[in-house]
Amino acid sequence: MNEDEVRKSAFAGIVPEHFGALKRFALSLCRNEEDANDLVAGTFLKAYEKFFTIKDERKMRQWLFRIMNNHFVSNLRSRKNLVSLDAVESGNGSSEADSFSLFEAIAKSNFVESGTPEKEFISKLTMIEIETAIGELPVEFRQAFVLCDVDEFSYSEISAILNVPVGTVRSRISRARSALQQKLWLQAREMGIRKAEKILPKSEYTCNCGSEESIEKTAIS
Amino acid sequence: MKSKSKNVKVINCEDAIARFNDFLDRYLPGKKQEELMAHIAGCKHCFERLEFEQDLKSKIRRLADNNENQEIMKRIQKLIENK
Repeated sequence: MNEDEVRKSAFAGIVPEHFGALKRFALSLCRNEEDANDLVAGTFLKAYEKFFTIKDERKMRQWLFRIMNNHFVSNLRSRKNLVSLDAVESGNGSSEADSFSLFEAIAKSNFVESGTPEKEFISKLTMIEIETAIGELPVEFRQAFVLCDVDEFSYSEISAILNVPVGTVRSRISRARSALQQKLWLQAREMGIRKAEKILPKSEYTCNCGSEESIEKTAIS
Repeated sequence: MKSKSKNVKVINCEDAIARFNDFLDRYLPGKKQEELMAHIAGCKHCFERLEFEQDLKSKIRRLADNNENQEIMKRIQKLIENK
């Protein structure tokens, strides 16, 4: 076998193994099917070219995601669409959005259709609503958030994929979660999910810390 | 301030909530996790809020389940074969 045949043989299993995850990441980055397919194809072709340069095959998944992200960022830069990193990091959003809690919003609202309105809210959320809200996040937040919450990479792996410090990864994920929750809340309100009329006073939802009240469930895995 | 029984530092709700993200992402160091768990055990509000964050994260994780597209995958494999 010549070098190309060896490489093709070794690479054969890579596409089916990682296609699904890369396609989903590409969709979250590009937000349309056609560009996502191009990005996936470009990623695998680039990976194929550089296949013999990977030193640790256990990091194959991380390596492929890094190639995809670099390819995506490079495309964006060439289109001059990339939002300045500094603009995102230093603000470009309200502090309200950075600290928004969907749980608190539901608790303080009149969304009461059962004894556990928060659980009911989550059960009513559709995957399309979630995808739409993620798609509206600034691209730097979207990258870090999806790599963490959908693809389950660790902070250090995300740091390597995005080529940013771990602290930046943590900050982006935290801000992405708050922003996403705010978007889900606004979506829900627009769609009239918050429809029940029973209004509970806000004081019922204030923190019980320090009170006599305790709960039986203590272990959260 | 340390609790008498377990010698675990007592934290308030604000500190607990600030640790949620690291906890959810398995990035919270053992000692800080212990302090968070001790707080959660006695605070219904924070317990429920953390449970909500976990449920939401689990729901979002389901996005990973449905992106198989055999046709595109085969096209990519063909592209590589022809290189």
